[in-house]
Amino acid sequence: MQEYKPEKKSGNDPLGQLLIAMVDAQILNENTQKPIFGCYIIGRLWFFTALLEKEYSVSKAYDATQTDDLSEIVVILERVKIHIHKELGLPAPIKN
Amino acid sequence: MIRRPFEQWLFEDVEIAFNIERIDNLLVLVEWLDVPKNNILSSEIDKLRVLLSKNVETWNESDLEMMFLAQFLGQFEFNNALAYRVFMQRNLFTEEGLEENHKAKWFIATGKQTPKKTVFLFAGVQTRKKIRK
Repeated sequence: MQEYKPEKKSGNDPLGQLLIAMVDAQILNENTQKPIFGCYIIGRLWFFTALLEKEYSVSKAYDATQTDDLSEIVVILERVKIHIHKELGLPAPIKN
Repeated sequence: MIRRPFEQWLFEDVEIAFNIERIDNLLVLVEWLDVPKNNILSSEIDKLRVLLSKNVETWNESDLEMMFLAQFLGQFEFNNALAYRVFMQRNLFTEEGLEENHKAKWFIATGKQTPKKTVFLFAGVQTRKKIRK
C-alpha cells in the first residue's frame, strides 16, 4: 500500500452536511414520524441515508460509473417520486 | 446552542447536538433501497454514465454538479406544478443553531414559492481531487 486517503477530509464531512440539513428539515417539518431521505456524493460514489425520529442509517456506496449500480440509483430516485405522490395523495407518477 | 458554518458540521457533532443515533439497517432505508437489479439504462442516462466515467477524476465539485448531476437529476422531473418541486440554494435554518446563510444545495419539498415540507435532500457533493491552479 503506497498511499491511503480517508473518505472525507477533516472539516469537510459530506455526511455531516447532509445530516445537519436532514435534522433541520425534520424540525421544520414538525413531524419526526415521517422519514427524511437524503443522498451525498463523493465523486463517483453515492450514499443514501434515511432519518426517522432519532435514528438514521447510511447505505453502502453505489458507483455511478457502473451500469448495475447506476440502474439501481435510477430506481431508488424513482421511488422518491412515488413516495412523494403517496404522501400527498397524488396519482402515481408517470414513468419517463 | 452550537453555531457554526453549515459546511463545518461533522456527523458526530450532529449526533451529539441533536441526540440522534446511527444504526445499521433502518427499516425505511432498507425498504427504499431494496430494488431489483436490471442493468437497464436509458440511452440518455448511459451517455451521462460514460461522461462521468471519463471525467470524474478531473472534475471539481462544480464540474460534477453541472456536467453530471444537474443533467442526471433532470431526467426524473421532480416537479409537480401544484404540489412539490425542487428547491436549490434555499435557507434551511431554525433556532437550533444554524446560521441564516446556510443554504441546502438541492432538495425536494412541498410548496410552490417557498419550501414547506422537505422529503429528500442532496447535500455534501464532494470530489476526491481538487484541480491544480
